[in-house]
Parts: sequence; C-alpha cells; structure tokens
Amino acid sequence: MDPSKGKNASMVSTDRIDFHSHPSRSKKVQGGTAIWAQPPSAQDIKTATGKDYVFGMRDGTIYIYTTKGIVATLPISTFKK
Amino acid sequence: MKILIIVVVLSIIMSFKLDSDNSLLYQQSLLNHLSKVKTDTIYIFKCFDIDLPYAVEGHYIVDISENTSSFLDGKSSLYAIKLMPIQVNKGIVEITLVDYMLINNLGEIQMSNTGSVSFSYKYKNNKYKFLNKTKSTI
Repeated sequence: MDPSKGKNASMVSTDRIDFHSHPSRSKKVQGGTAIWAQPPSAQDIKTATGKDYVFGMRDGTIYIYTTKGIVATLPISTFKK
Repeated sequence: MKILIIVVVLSIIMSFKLDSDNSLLYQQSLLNHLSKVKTDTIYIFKCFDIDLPYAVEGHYIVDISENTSSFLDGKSSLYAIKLMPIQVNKGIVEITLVDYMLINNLGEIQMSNTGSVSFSYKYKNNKYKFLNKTKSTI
C-alpha cells in the first residue's frame, strides 16, 4: 500500500478466519498424564473454512491449517510482549 | 424366607444381564466408532467393571490401563480409546469414547485427548435401539 495516497491502510480480509484454542490443562491419570491435543484435530481440519488458526496454549504454538492439513506453525510469543 | 431367596436370585440374574447388555453396547459403540479404521488391535482404557471379550469381529481388544508404558515400547505413538462409564438420562443410555494419542515424553506417558464421540441408545421392546452419534471436537 502506498502511504502517500492517503488511503486507509487497514488490512481487510475477505476470507472468513476461524480461530480457537486448545487448553493447556493437564491431569494425572492412571497410565500417564492426560492433556488436550495441541495441533488441530481431525475434525478441525475436516471443517476448516479457509486458513484457520488453533492456539495451542500448552505448547505455545499457533497452528495455521486448511482442509489439507497444517500449513504453518509459529510461536505464540510472536504476538505476546 | 422363600421370597428373600427369590429376590436375591433375581437380583443376581439381572446383574448378569445388565453386565452382558453393557458389554454389548460397548462393543457396538467401538465397532461403530472404528468402522472406517483398519486395525487388528483396539487399545483401550477401561474401568475394571467393564467386561469385554478378547476380540470383537476380528479386532483384538487390549486393555492398557495397567502397565501402559510397556505397550508403547518401540512405538513413537499409540492410539487408544478410553471407555467412559455408561450414563443413563431419562431412559437414554449414553456411551462416550474418548480418543487418545499416547506418546512417551522423556519417560512420562502423555495422553493427548483428540476428541470424543458419544453414542445414544434407547431400551425398547427388550432391545437397545441406536439413536444417534455425537462428536465432540476440541
């Protein structure tokens, strides 16, 4: 975008972006420690509506995925100060 | 005294029938859940009071509730299903199966919950009728 042309420089997405988080909580159970899966689940991937996001709160990773699978990951710290 | 004996005998017979019904419902739910999965062995977590046969329709059923880590030896991960206790609500019997992916993380077994599915049945005319299947994703 050209800053000299006085147009609004805000980013407008024409795509619908869905995002949700996978919790960090863990619990000791018989056999091991139960945790929530952090990457997108099979159901998440199946029902993706574009490039959707899952915030894995336990592993501190943002997963970007489409119906074809995970296309990128990045640390949540990228957005946190 | 006779009445007491009859009541006790009937209670024992009914408890065996209930156990048998529960086992069949769990088997049916497992087969439905895994209908699109090709596997010889189904690894499960279950309470001691859930009775399941050694195999169901060609699938071996292995309870890994005890010595879980030994089943992971030599494998990077293991898919297992947790059988939740049967819930009965207003005459509807519900069985929930939770999908877990097990990994050995530096000696600690991590069981990642990847979602669950619930099967509902209604008892009618001396048999259980399958009502629906509800997926719960995370």
